[in-house]
Amino acid sequence: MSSATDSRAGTQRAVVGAGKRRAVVGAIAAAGLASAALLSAQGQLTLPGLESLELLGRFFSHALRPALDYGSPFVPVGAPPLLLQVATATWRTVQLAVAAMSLAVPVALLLGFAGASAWWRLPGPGGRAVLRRLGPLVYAPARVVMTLARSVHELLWALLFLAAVGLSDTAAVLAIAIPYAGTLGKVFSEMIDEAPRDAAVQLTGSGATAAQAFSLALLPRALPDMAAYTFYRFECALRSAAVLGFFGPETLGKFIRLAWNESLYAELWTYLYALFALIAVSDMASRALRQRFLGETPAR
Amino acid sequence: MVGPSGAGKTTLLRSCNGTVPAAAGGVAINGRLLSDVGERELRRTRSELAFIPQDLALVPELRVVANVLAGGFGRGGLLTALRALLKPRRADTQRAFELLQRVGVGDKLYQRSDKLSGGEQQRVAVARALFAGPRLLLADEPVASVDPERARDTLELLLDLAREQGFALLVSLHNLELARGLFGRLLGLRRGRLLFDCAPAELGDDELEALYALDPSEDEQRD
Amino acid sequence: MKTSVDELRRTRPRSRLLRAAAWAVAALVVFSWMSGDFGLEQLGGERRLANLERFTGELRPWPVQQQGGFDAGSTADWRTVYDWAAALMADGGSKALASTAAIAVLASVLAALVGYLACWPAARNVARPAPFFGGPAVAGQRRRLRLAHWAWSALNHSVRAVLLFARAVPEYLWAFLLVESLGYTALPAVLALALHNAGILGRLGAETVENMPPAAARALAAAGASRSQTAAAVFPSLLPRLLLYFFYRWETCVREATVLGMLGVLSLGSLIRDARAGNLYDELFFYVLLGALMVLAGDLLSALARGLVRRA
Repeated sequence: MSSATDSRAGTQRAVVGAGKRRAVVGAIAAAGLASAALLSAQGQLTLPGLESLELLGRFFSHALRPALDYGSPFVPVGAPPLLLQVATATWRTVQLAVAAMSLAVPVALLLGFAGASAWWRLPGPGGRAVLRRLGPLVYAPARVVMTLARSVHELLWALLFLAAVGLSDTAAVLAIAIPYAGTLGKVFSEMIDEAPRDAAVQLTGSGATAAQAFSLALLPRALPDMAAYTFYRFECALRSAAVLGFFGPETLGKFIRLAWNESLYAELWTYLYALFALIAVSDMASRALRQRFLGETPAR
Repeated sequence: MVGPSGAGKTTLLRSCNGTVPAAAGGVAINGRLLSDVGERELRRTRSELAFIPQDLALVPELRVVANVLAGGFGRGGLLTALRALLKPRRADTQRAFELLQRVGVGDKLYQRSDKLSGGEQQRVAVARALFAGPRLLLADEPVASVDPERARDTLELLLDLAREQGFALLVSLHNLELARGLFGRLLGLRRGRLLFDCAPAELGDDELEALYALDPSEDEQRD
Repeated sequence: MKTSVDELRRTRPRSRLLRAAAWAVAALVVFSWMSGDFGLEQLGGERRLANLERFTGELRPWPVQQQGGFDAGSTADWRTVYDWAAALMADGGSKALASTAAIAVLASVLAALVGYLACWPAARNVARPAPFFGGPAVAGQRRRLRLAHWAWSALNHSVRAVLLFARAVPEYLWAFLLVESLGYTALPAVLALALHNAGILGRLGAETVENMPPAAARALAAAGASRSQTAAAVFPSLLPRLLLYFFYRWETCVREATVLGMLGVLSLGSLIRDARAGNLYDELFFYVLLGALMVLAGDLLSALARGLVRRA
């Protein structure tokens, strides 16, 4: 019976597979060493001197003693209490992230749908042949737009906006929304294309049009993963919003930078903990919601 | 249809509704070759056929009622599908419920499909197949991973439904005993060829041996 | 089956959490937009549009600006642009490119080393007394077991907390904090990226270990293998997924490495910063585009590698 040959071929394939994986791991390790070599050749991998380590030590020693009130004597009259300022900065971070995502997600859904090929590659009679022919036309432009949008880091978008029209609140939202729409769109289109098609094929075999099969049998299978990835991206948006504060908007990053420049480490740790709490809450919430969706953990 | 694995039973079933195009020869339904028929007529023909794949191909994230209503997509367009998803017509829901009751899982109407057991999911797949009132039901290994008692019940249910609703039933089976005991016409497939097409009573032992015999050349490949 | 459709519909399972979450998100979105100072007039307005026109003009390469125009048909024009670009590359451009790539690679490798080590104590099915990996229960003293439970749980939670903190702080922030102390070299950038991504890979690795089908590990544990022996034996089956995660994070590291230069570390980002400081918007645009190209190349490489791993 060919089962013996099959299992032998199977084992051979497994061995080859393990060999390929080992090759990949080896290549990664080699690349790592090469990078280290290059950087030290450029003179960039110097070990820190004693004073640097002292500075770090001082910084980390404040980790367990975050400030609850201003440490600096130069606080302007009428300034709000420190914790209130922390809360406001946290809220502004959330606000920026939410506004950016609320733009990015709808755009990403459109782009992702346009950049997916599953809906016009489904076998079966097309209810509206027009839509079918539209598919390949929008596919390439959608992918190009998404790629352009996401190849430029949000900080660089912010820089471009800053130089062009100044970094107003709207510009800050756009600086995050544009690359995020590109990334979300690309991931959405991949998830749509990789969703299992067995149900859709069954439906078209029983007389459904491609549009019907797609909307009822393909899309619902991709949606849980898409939702899970959106939650993950929101967490990233919170971080990006915080960092954008380095450039002007009143988010946590701005105050962290100011605190560091004035060596107010205790205050700095207060802001860091606020950021930490923000991420932790968002993480817990998204995990609880993801359990409902039974989605996979995204890694991108 | 009976025969060893790899005989081509699934392929034959899937070529009956055109999902797999015939490499040679053709499939004729209502006197028209499937390959000759235009898109619209193909769709109409397909809506008169129902196919239950071995893995059932339900949409796990949807509620049972949505999965059953999907069986009626042979008519209408995108809007029909969206209605089934969001706000189905009362008459449709009632019909789905009655079908589910007939196959024994009526109370699962609004459950999420992936929360059902394997047997229950199969019942749902049957209800979906029946929703549009097909004239031919194709079932691929409906009782492959089911214990013998349950298998007999399921097949008897399919046969009852076929008699009640007046459709033809084409089923591929592993279990020769069930096939001989319940069905009126047996097709024997082996490595893509039809070995016999007869009533169970006419089936001889030598034909059965030919069907399930181990190939001598395969014997040599064994170590 | 006496129930009717209506009754079934009324008693159908509905997720309260999902509904509450949907309302909360909607409220958050509305509130965020309303309480902010967002207005399109901030982007528009005549003066701003004029500024924008001037700005886009300044994005063109300097020689083109001097000429006053660019003729796409003229090879001489293309030649001037090429010379200008080549000069930029020679004058630190290629060095920055190499540095950026090296930072990204080294940081990802370090992150994987640390993260995929830390993921084991962070996995709930490993960091627990005797029946680890879902192995056979050990009959024994209950008091000892309770203490062991507590100790393992403490280890597990502290590792998870550290990983959470590492990834809660954005890379840029870590780099900012480290650059001042460690000097304007690549070291703080590498450490910052490595720290943040170790947190992420550690968390993802822990989830992979937790979701692993327990059959093989259970068999090993039943045969008496210790925790580390079981982990070593099980690791190859987890490797494909861990490699996929690695490549996804590598793509992100490439993105971040370009930008970290804005803190002073030699990478494309530092060149961008210098160009902006000198109002040399054409160079700025060139480096931004170069960064984008590098990100794209990285994405392509990663996609190839992931395809290799998936097919293996």
